Formats: sequence, C-alpha cells, structure tokens
Amino acid sequence: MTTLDPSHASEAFKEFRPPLLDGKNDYKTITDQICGVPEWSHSETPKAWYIAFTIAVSMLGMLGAMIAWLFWMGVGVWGNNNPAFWGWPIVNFVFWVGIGHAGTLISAILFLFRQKWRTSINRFAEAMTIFAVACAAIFPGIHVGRPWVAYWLFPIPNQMDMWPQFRSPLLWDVFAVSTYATVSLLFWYLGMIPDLATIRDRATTPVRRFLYGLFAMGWNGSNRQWHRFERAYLLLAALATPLVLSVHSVVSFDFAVAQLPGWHTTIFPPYFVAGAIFSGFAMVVSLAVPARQFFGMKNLITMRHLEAMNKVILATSMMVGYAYLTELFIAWYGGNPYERFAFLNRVMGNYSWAYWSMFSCNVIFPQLFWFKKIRRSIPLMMIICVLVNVGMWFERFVITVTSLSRDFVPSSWGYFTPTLIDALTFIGSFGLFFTLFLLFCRWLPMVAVAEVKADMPRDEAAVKGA
Amino acid sequence: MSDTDKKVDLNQEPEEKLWAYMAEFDSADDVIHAAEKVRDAGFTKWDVHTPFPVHGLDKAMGVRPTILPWLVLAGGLTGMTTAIVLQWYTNMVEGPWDFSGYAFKISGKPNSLVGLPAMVPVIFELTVLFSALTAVFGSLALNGLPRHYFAAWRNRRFDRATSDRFCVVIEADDPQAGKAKALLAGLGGRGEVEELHDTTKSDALPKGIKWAIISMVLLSWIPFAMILRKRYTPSESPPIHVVPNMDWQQKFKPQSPSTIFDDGRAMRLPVAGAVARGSLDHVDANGHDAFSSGKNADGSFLQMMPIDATDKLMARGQRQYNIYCIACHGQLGEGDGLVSQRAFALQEANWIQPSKLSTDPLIHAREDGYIFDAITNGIRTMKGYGAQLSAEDRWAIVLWVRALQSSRLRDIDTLPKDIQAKLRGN
Ligand code: HEC
Repeated sequence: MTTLDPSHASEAFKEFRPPLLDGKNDYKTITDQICGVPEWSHSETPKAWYIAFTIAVSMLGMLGAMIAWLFWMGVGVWGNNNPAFWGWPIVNFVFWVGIGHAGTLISAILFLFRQKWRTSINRFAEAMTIFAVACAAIFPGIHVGRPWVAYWLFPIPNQMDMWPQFRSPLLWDVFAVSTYATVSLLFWYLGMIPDLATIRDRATTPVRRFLYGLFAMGWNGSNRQWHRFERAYLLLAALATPLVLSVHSVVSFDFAVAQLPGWHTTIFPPYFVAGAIFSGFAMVVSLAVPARQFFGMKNLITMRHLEAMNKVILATSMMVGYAYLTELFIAWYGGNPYERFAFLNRVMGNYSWAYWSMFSCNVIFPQLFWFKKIRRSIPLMMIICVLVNVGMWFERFVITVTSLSRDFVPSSWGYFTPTLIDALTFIGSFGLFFTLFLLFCRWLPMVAVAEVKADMPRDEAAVKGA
Repeated sequence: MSDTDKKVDLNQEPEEKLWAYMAEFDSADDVIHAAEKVRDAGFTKWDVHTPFPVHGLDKAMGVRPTILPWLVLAGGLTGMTTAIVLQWYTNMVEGPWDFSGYAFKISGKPNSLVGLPAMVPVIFELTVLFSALTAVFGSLALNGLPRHYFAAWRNRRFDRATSDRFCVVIEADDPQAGKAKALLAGLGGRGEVEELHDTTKSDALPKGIKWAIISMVLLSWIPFAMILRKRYTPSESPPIHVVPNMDWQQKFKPQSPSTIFDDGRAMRLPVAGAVARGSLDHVDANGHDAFSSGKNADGSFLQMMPIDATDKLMARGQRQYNIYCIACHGQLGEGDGLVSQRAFALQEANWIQPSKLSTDPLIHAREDGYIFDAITNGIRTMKGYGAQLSAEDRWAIVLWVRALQSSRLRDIDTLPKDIQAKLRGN
C-alpha cells in the first residue's frame, strides 16, 4: 500500500503546506464534534434547522402536488409545445445532473490526485451528488408522458417481445444516469460505514445503537477490514473517475447526436463535463457556507477549503467561457449557414436575454475570484456561487430552447413560454433536494470522521491521559 | 443425545468463556510498534482495531494483499459481456420463440456487431456498474459483513476503538495464547490488559429475525408465481389497460358518422370553389384544360398528346406502366397480366379479359386522348387511375402504350431505313 499512502507525502511539503484543519484538534474532539450532531437533542438543534426543514418540506409537498396534477392532466400543463417539445423538464434534468458531478469528482478524482483537503468536504459533497441525481431522475421520468410505463426504459422481458432501442442516446442516458446514481450511492455508503460504527459505539440509547448499528453492518475497525475497505475505496475511486466524465458526456449526446443546428456539435461532451463540475462546485460552496456555520464545522471546513473550491470554480468558469467562444468561432468558421444562424440567433435573437444572463453569470462574475480578498469573502463567494448556478441553469435553457425554437424551416419556428406549473415544479425540486440534505446533515456524519483522522498529524492528534 | 439437550435454555445463564486478550494504545505509532512485536512473536489469530486506516499497519501485521482487485476485474468483464450479449440479443436477433429479441433497423445502421460503436456507451456503463458492485459487495463479503455479533462489543473499553483508541486483540484459541497476556502487558499500552469474554450462545441470530428473513424470502416469490401462472392461463377477456387513452382516443376515424355537423359525417368536404394544387396550370383563356382532360373544348378526344415525346418521358411512362398497369395488361400489353392469368385459372365467371393494348388494332387506331381518358376515368369494367397518377404521368403512359403498339402492329417498311436494316439483321 505504500504507493497509495497519502501520509507518506514528503516531509518537505509540510513546511509550506498549511495544516488542513483550524485550531487544536485531536481524535476525540473530532469524533465528538462530528458524531455529536446526530446525537443532538431537540433543544440542542438550532432553530434555523427547524425553520429550514419546514420550508423544504413544504416545497417538497408542492413538488408532489405538481406531479400529481401533471399525471392527472397530462404534459399539456407545461409550456412544452411545438416546436420546443423539450422545455423546462429537460433543462432541469441537465441542471441537476450537472450539479451532481461535484461530489464524485471530489471523492474520486481528488482522491486519486492525493488532494488531502477533500476529506473535510467529500462526505457532504457526495451526499449532495446523490440528492441532486435524485432530483434529476424525476424529470425525464415525469417527462415521458405516460410515466406509468416508464419501466419500458429498461430491458425487462415482456409478453410483447418489446425491447429498448440500444442505438439511441436517450437510452444511453438511462444506463449512464442509473449507473452513476448507483455507484455514487454505494461509494457514499461504503465510505460512511466506519463512521456509522463510531456513532453506534458512542450511542447512549438502545434505539440509536440499534439503528446506526444496523447500517454500520457490524463494522469493528479491524485492520484486516480496513485493508479491504481501502482497496475497495481506491477501486471505486478509479471506477468513478471515468464514470463521472462519461455521465455528462452521455447527457450531452442527447443533444449532440441530433441534427438540430446548435446541438449538433462535437464540443459538447467536454463542454458539458466542465460545466457540470463548475456548477457542482458552486453548489458545494453555497451549501458548505451555511452548513459549517449552523453545525459548527468551521474548524473542519476552513477558509482554505472554501478558497480551494473557489479556485476550481474560477478554472472551470474559464473552461466554460472558452467553450462558449469556441462554439461561436466554429459556427462562423464552419461556414454552415444553419449553424451560423443558430448562434447569431442565440447571441442576438429573441432569447439573447437568456444568452447574456448565462454568459455574465458563468464567465464574467466568476472572474472576480482572481482576487484573493473576494475568494475569501463569505458573502461575496455566496453571491457568485448562486449566480453561477443561475447561469448554469440558463446555459441549459439556452441550449435546449433556442435551438428547438429555431430549426431549419422557418414555418416551424416558435417562442417557448413556460407555465406556472413549470416554475413551481422546478422550485419544488429544490424542496426535495433540501429536505434530503437537511435530514442528512442532522442525522448522518456530515464530515468523513475516519478520513479526517487519517490525515491528522499522528502524535498531535493522539488522546493521551484520561 | 436427547432433544432437550440440544435446545438452548433461555432462562439459564449462558456459560461465560475466555475469548481474547486486549491491550489498548493511545496513538497510531504506538500500535504499529506493538503490532510488529506481536507479529514477531508468531501469533496467528489476532487483529488490531483502529478508528481509521493506519498506514504502515498492514506491513507491521504482515497482512497479505486482498484478492479484491481480481474479483473486481472479473466483475467488470462480466459486465462487459453482459452488455454486449444484451444489446446483441435484444436488438439484433429475432425469432418465433418467447421473449425473442427484436431486430431493429434504425437509420441504416448495420444490424450486427459491426454496429459496435453505437453499443459502446452501454458497454462502458455496465462494465463500471458491475465492477463497482463487485468492489462494494465483494469487500463487504470478504470482511464478513454484515455481521450482527462480535464478542469484543461486550466490553465497554472496546467502544473507543472506533473513535480514539487503538486496540490489539489476540484470540484465546491462538496456539500461543498462553504467552499472550504477558506479551501484551509488556508492550506499554494504557491500563491493564483486558480479558474479553464471550458466551456460548450470544452469537446465535435472534429467532424472530431468522424467521422474519425466511418468510420475507418466501413471500417475495408470490408475485413471480402469480405472473407465471397468468402467463400460462388462457383468457378471453381483453388485456388490462391501466390508462386506456392510447387505444380509445377521443377522435373520429375517417368515414365515421358524427352528430356535430348537419350532414352527419365527421369528415369535412372542401369549401365550395376549392381547387387542388397545380390544377389551374394548364387552363387556357376559355377555362378549358385539354392537358388534364385529354379532350378538346368540344368534347372530342385529342388526336395527339399535348406534350413532347422525349426519351425521359418514355422512360417515365415505362416505369409508371410497370407499376400501375402491368398486373392486368401484362408487360407487353397483351392482356395477359398475372391478375388475369390467376382469374382465368380460378375460372372466375365475372372476369373480363383486360384489353390487348399492344395487339388490338382497334385501340391502335384510336386517338391518344382516348387512351388518356381510359386511364383517367376508367373504361367499362376498368377503374380509373386519375386520382393516383398526375396528368403528366398519364401522358407518359400513353406514350409507352404507343411504343408497345409500334413493337407489334407497325409495318416494318414504315420505319426509317437504318432501323429496318438493324431489325432485319443485316
Ligand atoms: C385491375 C386490372 C387492370 C389494370 C391495373 C389496368 N387495366 Fe386497363 N383494362 C382492364 C380491363 C379488364 C379492361 C377491359 C374492360 C372491359 O372491356 O370491360 C381494360 C381496358 C383498358 C383500356 C381500354 C381498351 C379498349 O378496349 O378500348 C385501356 C386503354 C386500358 N385498359 C389501359 C390501361 C392502362 C394504361 C393501365 C395502367 C394505368 C390499365 N389499363 C390498368 C384491367 C385493368
């Protein structure tokens, strides 16, 4: 295992690498701090959590009501219509899947790159990933028009001898997204088993001991267990890395494989992946800032963590900006009149307001992160990260709607107008996301306890004496 | 042995027995040194319990690398094969058996393994999925998880092994267990060396849980059994439609009655004075259309076709004749098309032989407009083709009929000299 051992990083690094955590921490304080949260009594739980949870659950209820209304009435309740048959549902799907990329990126790619700072944020970034993918999965499911036969998406033997068509990108999507959801969930859960065991062993009530014990599955921290656990974790990281890159590539095929001007471009896979990482990190920051505040994790999720994430946001913002400019250049240079028109229409047509919202939120505002002061300012980073998420939603809107509403034949042109139901469904999906996220923060170890401990300086962190 | 001996008596105090010795340490470095000593002393049944993976401990304990990576490789290969077979079977193979695949023909993409590139995304995803499932469930299985019981959990000191203490545990049935206590005591851990006890019956799965699991497994078969039964039970009743709006739609089919309109039909007629596209192209100043009717303004047939006889028109005429007329009139216009041959073979009493277009001198003598009119509106027992064929195509067919006639009825001496020579073969 020596080659994979991050604690063997050369001594020289310690000289100029600042410590990962703030303040004086040892194994016990870390355990108490993180595992203490699920042990909070009702009175210890901050009021803010109850308020936030109430709001989130109400929004979730609204989502349920909107979906029920949709099933009852049919997709006509949405703004989707000829020619923009892919309206908000697909925009929202791509938006949420994109957000769901940061978690696995942090836990897998940063793990392979030995970025130790990931240990403080990977657990809840992974949780965020799973919840975002859950939100994403809703939209294509309810978009199929006859959701009660949505199982036709899967190759299930049936009396009609009817099978999915495996040469369609929409089907690739089914496989990519469901594989991603499964692997992310397993990765998250596997990593959490030792921490659940820690909570089990600290439990003061039999109910807690039983429930956490159930999900800890009998982990006892033996070194032979750790040995296989780490191997499995490493293998999962190595598997999840190409997976995370494949998922948004496949999502981009939904567009790129079609002939529609504005969709039919080879740049889509890398461009989508960069955008996904970009929006995912922005979401992690916008969640990490309040979470570290309310759950008292400031010493674990430090300003250095936030700054590092802001740097990733800055870098991916420039990649996304580069993709936008390349697209425009190729539209001109490629000489295809339809393609040229599609892009001129995006920039100057009747959706230019959406294009420029996207461009400014995704490319211009994040440039402020060049300044260290701004990178380290809580309010400013919150504003920029929220703007990035707004911008990334607009990116998917621009791609989906402007292309569909202006295809080859002018007689089929149109203008897409969403309905109130569209908007409330989208807002409701945030309800699902925040409900799950708040439950997670409250009842599960929000920071990877064992991983943080493994990266602490060994002699300083040991608990000597009583 | 009698039956009562085997049963565990729940009221009787379970028998306690020594299970292992445990020493506790403060730091990872201490436990590594301790583990090296235990390893060197030659113990085999022992382990170190730590709150996080301690790097260096594998070497100190002499733990051999796990076979997990090989399992994952096998899992990945299985996933890959599954994906290829799945896509090949469901999309490329078709036959009269149950659960047959369906050979899709999509945008001319090759319907065989040559079409592999389009299968790559699913192959990739299933390879990753199977590998990941193997990694997770394989590591759990190798670790003996889930487990509901571990003897050390009975000791409260051991609770901290998952938060901030490092414990070396040597089991009492290790061959060298006798030396264990002394060795552990000399390693400089914190506090006393602990003797961990176990009971004879504590690792039994609680009865209730055991039966719950068994009955759940059995119950889960019921739906499958019901589906299987339904599949092999013939039924007269129509299939169950959860939401029937695809089969029974709120719309009118062509030619169906309706109470909405005064005339009682669902189909609407064109408004008065509506004309079809292109129908005004050949109308002359007096409103007469000789081109599409084949008639002069006085109602007589056009003597000559109103369109230039080109090679292109001839080819078109041949093609359209072979599509629309050949079935009855035969390839050479001799009235011996397959439909007619079949009708005679069946001795159909009502069948009238199609006219011999190429060999009947009467038809040869008629105007071009006559043949055109026969095609457009039909003649006697023959139906018209005006609705299927454009006026231009009908003239093209007339030209082709004329050509067929020339090949049969024309006197060779009326042909140009060079063609005569060619036909006579000199
Ligand atoms: C379904 C069989 C059928 C098809 C197809 C058919 N015909 Fe006929 N056609 C007949 C029959 C039968 C007659 C003889 C009608 C009668 O004598 O009652 C006939 C008669 C005619 C005549 C009248 C000749 C005369 O006796 O004066 C012409 C001209 C003619 N067909 C041309 C065509 C052409 C050109 C086509 C292709 C566009 C065509 N027919 C397609 C069955 C057919």
